[in-house]
Amino acid sequence: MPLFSDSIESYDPDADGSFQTAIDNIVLDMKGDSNPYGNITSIAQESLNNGCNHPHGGRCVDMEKLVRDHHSHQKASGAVARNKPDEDLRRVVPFHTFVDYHHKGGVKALANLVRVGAVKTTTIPIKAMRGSTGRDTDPSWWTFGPPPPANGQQYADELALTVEHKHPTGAPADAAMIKGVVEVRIPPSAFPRDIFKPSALDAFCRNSKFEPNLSPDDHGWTKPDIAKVGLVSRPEFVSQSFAYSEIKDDIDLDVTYLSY
Amino acid sequence: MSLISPIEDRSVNMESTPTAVAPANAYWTYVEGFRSLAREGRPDRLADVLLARLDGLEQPVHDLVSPRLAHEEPDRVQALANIFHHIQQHDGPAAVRYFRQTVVEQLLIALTTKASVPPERLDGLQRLIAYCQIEDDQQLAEQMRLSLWGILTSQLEKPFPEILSLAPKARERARSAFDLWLAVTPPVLGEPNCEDGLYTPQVEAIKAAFIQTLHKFEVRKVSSRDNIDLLLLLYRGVMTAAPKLAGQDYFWRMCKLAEGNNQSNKEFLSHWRGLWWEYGQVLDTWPEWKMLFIAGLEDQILDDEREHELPSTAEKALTFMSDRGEELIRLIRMRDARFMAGKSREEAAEKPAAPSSNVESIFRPMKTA
Repeated sequence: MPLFSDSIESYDPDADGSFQTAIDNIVLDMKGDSNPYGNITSIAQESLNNGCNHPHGGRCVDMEKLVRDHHSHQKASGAVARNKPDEDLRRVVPFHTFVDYHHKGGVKALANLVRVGAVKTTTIPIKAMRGSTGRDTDPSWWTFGPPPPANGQQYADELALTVEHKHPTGAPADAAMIKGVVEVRIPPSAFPRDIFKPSALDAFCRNSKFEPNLSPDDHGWTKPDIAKVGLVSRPEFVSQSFAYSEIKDDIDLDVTYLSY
Repeated sequence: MSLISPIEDRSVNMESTPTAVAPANAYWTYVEGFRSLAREGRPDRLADVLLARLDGLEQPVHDLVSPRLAHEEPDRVQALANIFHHIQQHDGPAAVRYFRQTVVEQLLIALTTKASVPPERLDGLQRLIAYCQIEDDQQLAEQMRLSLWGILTSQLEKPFPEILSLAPKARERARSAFDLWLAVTPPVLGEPNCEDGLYTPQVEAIKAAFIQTLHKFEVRKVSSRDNIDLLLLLYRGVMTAAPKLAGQDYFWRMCKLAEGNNQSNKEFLSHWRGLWWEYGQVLDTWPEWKMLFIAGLEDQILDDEREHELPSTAEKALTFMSDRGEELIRLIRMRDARFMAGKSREEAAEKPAAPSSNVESIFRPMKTA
């Protein structure tokens, strides 16, 4: 019977090793006697192994789905919900993701905001947020604590949002459309989901910039590129993504725009 | 692993991105191939490749295989928007035209065909309309407006102004077509039938659709959340088609609707403020439009014939207009206070024993201003 850890190590859908960091993280993050603060619990490990014990040839059928089913907010992860901090939880996304996914007021609204290319730092009535904090299939990542830096590029670097995909000539590629990042703050009292310390399964993606936190801390820490001077590591949590309409309080959310 | 340092990395001039470099991986093979089709003016092939990407096809189409999403591309639509951005930056106006034209044509086909269209494709084409900023291409925008107006005037069971009474499916179709029509229509600065204006019947139909729907809200014949969105969309219509009138009249009627403490007023106020958050972002993009709208607002605020206070919820909407909003709020407060003072003076005149008010003197300078 194949073990999940054996199957994952050979996972390379693009045949270019772009999942290697994500795979290494999973191996590092497995909880065990020698790794007591690993974030992939023994419950999750057993369930992942069962997912690989499929009747069709004993292979893990769909690795990405199997990983998704064990994201921290899923029951199969065996993860424990953490206490929310006393301060706002902050979701930071590129500008276009904000206007397309979080605001989502129709085609006219999207066209309007794409044209403006930025939003003012202000409060936004919750009813204006008709989208969601992220895709259904992905966890939403949250930070809190130290205030953001003045520059969006630095914030994106610190939170590992920065685009790594480069043109063969070295020119930045999809960064071209990113003009800044938007931070939305949600007070803990209005936050409608449990929050979790992230595991390597939450960050299973190509060119992952995640590093599992193997300490007893309640939350993870981002690991910005050490080659970039002056960046700070920031605390991070994950939650299931949710629609803003699930926030029942009729509140205004603080929105901060940070240009690149 | 790139050997380029972060500082050098940021200094790369995007204008110099080469287009003839042999791409190193599947992602760039696709992007370069897509851009070539746009540069070469192959709209038929471009359409096939675009639709394959939107539909999530993994098989090659014209030798191009849709790649997996890059980091920071949350979905395939934003991935295509990224490619459009590259084309806009590097490939010239003709290539931009081909991309936009392909999106417009495929959207119109999707909206009018009797065949079933994958919902992801329709959603993707609509969002691409926003990302491509079609209204910047006046000819293409006009073509799209004509087709969408055709849907609104000839393919509905009832005239467009009766949109609220259409069956839910037809109403949704009309709402979506009007949303798209607005998305490719810049603010109308001229009078109807003039150079910068719409045709009179269009303006009248939009105003009638808004007023009829608003009236149903005013007499409490609707309350559902979906219909609030429809009313707000129609308000967007009058903001676009008749900005001065929107400031003189419609804005205040919407604010009036949001007054009161019951749940439906509160629900409406929240949505209304949401719309004003957005207008607070976009009005500055078109100074002439903003000027027309504010001129309308001022007409109403300063109207000497006005015999009522203005709805206090107006302040909650105008707050989002930053500088001008604050000025307008101050003006409203002063005029309303003066109005109230005048009213109590009249009452005092009817009752000679009542003490005289000193409020008038506070606001007397307004009269000579």
